[in-house]
Formats: sequence, structure tokens, C-alpha cells
Amino acid sequence: MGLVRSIAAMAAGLALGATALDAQAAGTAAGTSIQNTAQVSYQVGGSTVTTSSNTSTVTVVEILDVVVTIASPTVASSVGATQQELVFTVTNTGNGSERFELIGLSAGVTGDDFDPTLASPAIYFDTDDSGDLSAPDTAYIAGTNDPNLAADASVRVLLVNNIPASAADGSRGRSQLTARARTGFGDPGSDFSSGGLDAVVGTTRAEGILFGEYLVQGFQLTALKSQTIQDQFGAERPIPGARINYRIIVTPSGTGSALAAVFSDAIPANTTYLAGSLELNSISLTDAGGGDDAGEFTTTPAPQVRVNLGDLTTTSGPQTIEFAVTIN
Amino acid sequence: MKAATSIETTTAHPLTKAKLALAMLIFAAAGVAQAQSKNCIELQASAETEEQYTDDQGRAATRLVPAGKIVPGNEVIWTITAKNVCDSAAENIVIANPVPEHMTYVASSAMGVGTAITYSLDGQQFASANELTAKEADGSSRPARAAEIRAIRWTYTAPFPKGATAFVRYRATVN
Repeated sequence: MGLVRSIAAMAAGLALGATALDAQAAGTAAGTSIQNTAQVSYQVGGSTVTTSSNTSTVTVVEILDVVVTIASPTVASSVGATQQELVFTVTNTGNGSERFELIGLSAGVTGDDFDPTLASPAIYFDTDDSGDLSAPDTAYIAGTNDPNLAADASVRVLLVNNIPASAADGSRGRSQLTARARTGFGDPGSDFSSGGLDAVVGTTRAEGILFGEYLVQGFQLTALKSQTIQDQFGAERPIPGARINYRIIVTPSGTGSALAAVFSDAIPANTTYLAGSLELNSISLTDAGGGDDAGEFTTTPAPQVRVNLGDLTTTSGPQTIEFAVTIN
Repeated sequence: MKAATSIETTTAHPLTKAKLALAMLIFAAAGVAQAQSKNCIELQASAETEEQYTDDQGRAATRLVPAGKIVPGNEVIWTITAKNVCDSAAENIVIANPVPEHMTYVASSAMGVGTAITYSLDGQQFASANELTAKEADGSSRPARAAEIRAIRWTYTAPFPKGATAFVRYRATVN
């Protein structure tokens, strides 16, 4: 990604002409010589003379700056989930090529409810540029494959945590990424040398620190099923020909939502679905499929009733599904 | 930590006294009007930056120091010193300096005692600060911005007598 960006920047620079070299955010590249020669013209004894000064040269040194950004400051997760990633981008906003050390921290980041647990390894490069943790992504090993970024180049980094089983529903856990210039970091103006070239810490302190947050969403749907039996003799005996009325109450709980929730229930063996008996929240549904309403009875792959409950949150409240069968 | 030299001053053609004497001798011998090609105004350019320090009274103060470690955004103070090294007066003295590449002129920073200062956006046409205009894409004119100034010219109103020294100065930031 860094490479692609720098090529794009170069192309833009070429299109804009020579001065566009300075158009990068980082400013004039480290190592650039700025040269100045003045001229004077004057007359002595009626003759005009023009001459030049010495050439005074100032060399631009490296300024060390880095910025860390995050794709989504808060990501949803769940209790006990493993390999949960926060997606950061580390950008070299200095004016020279620089290596950066990356540090993950989850224990002790203040302002949250629980501590996520750093996975091992905890930091990956998004090698395949997928935006999430996937097989081709390379683990970061400090000091071994520190990202070496050209001025204005950036790299996408995944900080990976596990969510402890003790994390409560609705609680938040923070994990932070630090990126530091290997040449040096600290107070703006501090100076270091890098490969024979002097380097000065810029306003970012050559250190980018940013946390992301896991929001534990313990969203659950619980179903409570009850039945009543009516036999053909007015009693409640489960005999052939008796009717069993089923009532299932689906209750959403916790934070978050269930998207496009579908309830399905198989018709028990040795029973037959009673046509036209399906109801959702006391409203009759047709047995037909194809979306005429939320419900259907189908025999494929096995006899069952299905009800589309839509997007459910706790504010949706309990959903009551009723249907009946007869005992064969 | 490395004590690198980040400013170099290359003296392109300092006319040493020995050379000067030799030149005069040759011209005298050849009977050529010595002012014809002899350089009377020595011009020296230097780069400095402002440094905050505490003076001996314990007060915060600012002084100019040779430009050290320069990074983008830093301000450099360019000083051009002119000295008349001839026996006769030099007249109609005009100092010109293009704003160096990778630098942006700082608004209203050009100064020079006894000079009229003009500016140019292209290094060809010069105008005073309040008459300097830039062309918009649609052909209309507007007052030029300081960042668009690419060259500065100082025109002395009085001649330089023998041995006279003067300097002009401006500030520019590193892009």
C-alpha cells in the first residue's frame, strides 16, 4: 500500500512540474541542498558591471514525524472471541525514509471497562490489503521487520486481541498501538543522527499513539417453547387425532442487534402441521412461501414452519410464534 | 549524535587582496580603463536562523545564528552584504536575489536601508509590493500573495562611496 501511494504521489509530482516535489505533506526531502546566489549590478566610471555572490548552501535535515490513524475507533466483538483486530494506519509524515517500531498495549490503557488480551503475535501487517486478519498477513517482529516508510508513505497494521470470557455485555476494552521513529523520538526539536544525516524530532514527537476499542455485544435470542394439547374428546390426552398447540416466545437480550433473524421449527415426527395455524404475535400468517407475509410452512427439506422476524434488538421486545399440529 | 555541518558557505569568487592587486597591476600596465572589468562590489550571501536565548540579565532574547539543522517549516534569514572595494564610488547599485528553490518568501520580510524594494513572480518583471499582481486562470488580475514571490530586487538610491558596506535581508521558510 505504501508503495502504491508513493508511486501515485510521484506521478502527481511529475504532472505538476518541478516545484511539486515540495507538495508532499512532509515538505522538502531530507538531504536537499538549498542554494542561494545573489547578484549585484552597479556602475563605476560609467560602465555597468554585474557580479554574483558566493553560493550559500543550507542542507535540509530529516524531520521525524509519524501519525497513527484507525479505521474504526470502536469495533463490535463478543465475549470470549479470539483474534479480533483493530485496523490502524501508520504514516511517515516526516521528510525522509524512516523505520518505525510498533508496540501494542492492552493492559492498563485507561478509560475502559476491561483489558483485552494481546494475541501472540499481536501485530500483523495487512499484507494482502484485505482490511482484516487473514492468512497471508505477516506478523510484525520488533527490530526484525520494522516498517521502513518513505516520506509520506504509510502501512496498514492490524492489532490483534482476544476478548476475555469475563468481559461483560456492553463493556468496552481498549488496546493501543504506538509507532515510534527508530532514529529517535521525544520532545520536538530533539536531534538525532540517522545514517550520517542529521535528524530532528518534529511536532508529532516522532511517536504516534492511538487506541481502538472493542465493544462487547452479548446479544442473544432466547426461545421458550410451550405446548397445550386438545384431544377430540375435549380432554388433554396426547392421542392420535389430538391437536398440539405450540407457542414459542423469542426474546432478544443484550446490546446490539440480530439482523434478518429467521425462526424455524421442525414439525415433530408422527405429527402433521395443521394448515393455516401459523401466527406471529397473534396475527395469522399464510402457509404460502414467496414473501406474501413473514411466515410459511414448507416440506423442504423437512416439514417445518419458518418466520422472518426481521432485525431484532431489545427494543423489538419478545416475538410470539404459534402453530399447531395433529398427532398421527 | 553527530556534529554534522549542515551549512556550507562556498566562496565562489572571493577576490583576494593578492589577486586584486595583481589585476590592478595588469590593467595599469595595459593602459585599460581599470573600472571596465574590475569588480568593485563584493557580495556575500549568508543563511541564519533565529535562536531564543536568555541574556545575562536573565531575559528572553532572540539572536541570529548561522543556519544549523534546517527542517521543513523552519525560517531562514538570508542576508546579502555588499561592500565597495574600489577607490571610486559605485552608482546605481541593484542587488537581486531569487528566492531559493524549496523555499517560500515570508510576507513583508524584505528590508534594506536606503533601497527601493521590488518583487517579481517570474524573475523577469518587477513591481513594488502594492503594485504586484498575479493573473488568475481566467485572465483577471489580483494582488499577488507573498508565497508567489520568486525574486526580490533592492535598488539603492544613493551611490556607495569607497569602502561603504550595506546589507539587505529577507526571510523564507523551507517548504
